[in-house]
Order: sequence, then C-alpha cells, then structure tokens
Amino acid sequence: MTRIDDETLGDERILWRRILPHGIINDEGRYRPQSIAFVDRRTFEISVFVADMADEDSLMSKYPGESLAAIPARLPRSLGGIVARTPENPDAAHRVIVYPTPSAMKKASKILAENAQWVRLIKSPPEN
Amino acid sequence: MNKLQSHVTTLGDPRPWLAEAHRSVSRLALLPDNWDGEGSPAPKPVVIEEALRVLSEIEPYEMPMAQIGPVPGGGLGIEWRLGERDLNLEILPDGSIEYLKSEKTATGFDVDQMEDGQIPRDQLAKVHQLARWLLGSC
Repeated sequence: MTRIDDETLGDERILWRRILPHGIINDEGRYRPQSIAFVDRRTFEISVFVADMADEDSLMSKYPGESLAAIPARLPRSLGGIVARTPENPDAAHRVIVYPTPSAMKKASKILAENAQWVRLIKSPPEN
Repeated sequence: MNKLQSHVTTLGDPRPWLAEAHRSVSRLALLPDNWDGEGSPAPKPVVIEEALRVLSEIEPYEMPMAQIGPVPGGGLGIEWRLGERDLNLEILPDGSIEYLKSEKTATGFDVDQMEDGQIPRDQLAKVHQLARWLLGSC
C-alpha cells in the first residue's frame, strides 16, 4: 500500500509506540527501549498513535503488560521517514512510520529508541 | 524437549554473558505465533539456529551482556553496548544476518556515522571483527 506523509500532523505532535516486555533493556538501572522495538520486518511499517488523539488507558487496556513510549513526529521525519495515515485502520489516531529502505529503518530505530520518553513503563520481565 | 532446546542446554560452561544469551535465545525459541498481538510469526527454527551459531562464534570474547529480543516478522535482534559503542546483530526471518555499528558522539548517535551491512552465513569471520570493534581492540 502506498503511504504518504500526513502533512496535517505537525512535527511537534507526539507519537506513542507500544513497547513489549521483550523490547525493554535495563541498562545499569536505566530502562530504555531496545532498538528492535522500532523495527518491523513483517510490514516494514512502525505502528504508532498520535498522543493527543488517543486515550492512554483505553489504548493500553488491551495490552496490560506492555509499556508506552513517546517520540515527536519530527524525529522519524528527520531520519528520512514519513508518518502516514492508515485508512484501513478504524482508529483515527493510528499512524505508521515508514522509511525508504530497511537500512534506514534499522539506523533510525537506534535514534528513536535512544530518544524515546516513557509514558508508561511496565518493568515486569517477559513471560518467555 | 525439542532439538533446539537440547542444543541450548547441553552446552558446556560458557562465559556468563554467553550462558545468559543462550538462556534468552532458549526462551525466545518458545514464543508462540502472534507474540506481539499484531500477527508476527514466532522466531523460526533457522533463526534460532543462526543466533546460537553466531553466539558460539564469538564465545572467546569477553562480551558485555547481550540484550536479545524478537523482531516482528520472525527474526531476532541481539544488542551489545559497551561504553559509547553499540553493536546490533539481527537474524532475519530467512536466517540471514545483518549488523549495525553505532558509536555515540557528543551529540548522541548519528545515522551518518553508523555502519550497517550483511554477514554472509559462510563468512562469520566478520562477527569476530565486529566483536573486536565493540571491545575496542580494532
């Protein structure tokens, strides 16, 4: 599916990314997302939600063991990505970050993980 | 016990980082399909086998603890951080291997300073080079 950048979404808008327990690193007491938390080799699209269009509790009620991290829309765009609407998804807050190449996705994942801010951090270890 | 679990648990007395990495891979081998709630397949057997092969390849090195996690699509990611250097290996769903070298500067990580590439499965000598880079010996 061809994606186009959502130009109505300003660079300052905040995007939320669900982070699974496997994607969290305890780095000498500081918890941070692992870069692979911002990689998707199945769809090559990184699913996010526009924070001011979503309700945190409602969003996370389906994923009680998961965490939520925030990045500004500016960040993936500055790394060559776009933030695109997903007409097939009924949730109006849903967007996907798409990069021109898998290499760009991989490199950007490092920057996104390093700069993400926790909105909700669940420190429990993964079940597997 | 399946073949992969057997492989993991019958290894000798590896270094602490390697023992922990084996435990992580062993746990991830048990992930079910749709582990991410988004339809991702579980890590495939070829991915588990390649991850273990790569880890065994760098057994001689005093690596820091590895962070290992599943990647949507059926792969695995292995991450090491030592000082300002990060080394990421990713085992893709088809068993191929990619790497990413990153080094923090005063302003943080910079994509223009990163190096990524593929590691052919029959050329794991590259993994030694990457391990030595992380450890600051090259």
